[in-house]
Amino acid sequence: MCIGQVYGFSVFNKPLSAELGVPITSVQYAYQIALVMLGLSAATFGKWVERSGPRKTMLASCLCFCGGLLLASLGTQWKSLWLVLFGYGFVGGIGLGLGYIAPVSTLVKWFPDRPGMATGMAIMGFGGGALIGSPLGQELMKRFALGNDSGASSAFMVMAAIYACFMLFGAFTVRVPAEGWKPEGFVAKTASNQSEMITTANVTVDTAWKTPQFWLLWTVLCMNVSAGIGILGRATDICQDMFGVSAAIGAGFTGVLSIFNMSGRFIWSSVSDFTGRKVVYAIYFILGAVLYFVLPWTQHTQSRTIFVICTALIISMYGGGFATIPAYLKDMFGTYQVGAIHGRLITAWSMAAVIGPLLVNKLFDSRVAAGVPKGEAYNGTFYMMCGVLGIGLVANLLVRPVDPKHHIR
Amino acid sequence: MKYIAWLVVAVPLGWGLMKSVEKSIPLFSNSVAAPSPPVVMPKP
Repeated sequence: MCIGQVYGFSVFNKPLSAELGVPITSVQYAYQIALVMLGLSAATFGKWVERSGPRKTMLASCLCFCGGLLLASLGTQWKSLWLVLFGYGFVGGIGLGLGYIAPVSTLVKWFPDRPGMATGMAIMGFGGGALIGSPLGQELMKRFALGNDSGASSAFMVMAAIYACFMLFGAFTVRVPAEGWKPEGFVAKTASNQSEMITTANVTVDTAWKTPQFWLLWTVLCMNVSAGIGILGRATDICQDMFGVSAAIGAGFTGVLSIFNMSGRFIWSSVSDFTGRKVVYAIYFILGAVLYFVLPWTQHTQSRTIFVICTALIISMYGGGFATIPAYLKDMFGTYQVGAIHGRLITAWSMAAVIGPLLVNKLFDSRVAAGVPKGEAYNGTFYMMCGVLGIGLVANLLVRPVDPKHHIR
Repeated sequence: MKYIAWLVVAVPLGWGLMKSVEKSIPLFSNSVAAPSPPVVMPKP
């Protein structure tokens, strides 16, 4: 919940731009660097996280994330963009990566009967962090603003202190269950009475990422995220352009999407415990494509309510895709190094965060340049998202159990 | 400890959720963008 603050960084864009005397795009680099570092650090430190356990990892995450906020505070005070980028983006981004994968293995071990729900809770926390980080930043800046000082520097410092308290509480209360621990009444399935899509064996991270299953799941996550970003990245603009509504209503639309993004993470991943991961991803891709296909019609008929319902469902599945992937990995590769494997798979997110908005923006700009009215210029993007989801569906259908030769003997 | 842990999660999350709901309210009101002022034709 703490590290999810990164999603709310945009509230600092304008104040930092004014205070540092740089364009907004330069300030946004801090957010982009943080997301890239999230993927890189999760991939690099995954094995260390598995070796060291969740407490040490959460402490390291706290140190980096809150240290990054403090450096950003100093950077704002000293009017140094570079220090803000280094602090919030680089150092804070490492904290994001460590914090994101830290609870995965532990939760899977605590909930062997409901791994989807368990990892869904952790990933939901990250989505929930966005709901808190954004208004918290705004409230703090409002409180500390004085004359030319936007209050951003003090806001960063107070946030570092608040988040440090919460993260340290988490680090000191987290426990790893004893070896072989099971919930009361739970009977672990054996290889003979379990679905072939859920392994009882284990695969190491170094072997896992050489299997086709890893890259198929990488593609599944990358396509699912790219399709969601198609709407999330420009939510306010899309709503305003397609329905001619005010900026306040556009912002309201973003608020609704945030709620569905967070709740979808818990609900869909819990559903996957009953349907199986492959089925739930097939639902994300097929239903997602159908809903994207309907969106141009809602603009044509000006059906705002149906538009909101469709997009909210799409975003719930975007969140669901994030939350279900650790359980899918656990099903394929076992629990042994699932956190580290998840860390490497997160690079799919970093990739999607770059290509998703790029595709959407380029296509939209080219349509507008071709003289298509703004309200209709998104139609091409929506149809393209159907294609992106189609690629994800094919990758998902190709997923088969891992060859036993890769299992740890 | 269990109850403190629930509080630590529920209080900030509830506050964030409330803020998001507040932000979403305009979406469900029936207002649309302020209409542009009527074009007044100059009198001949």
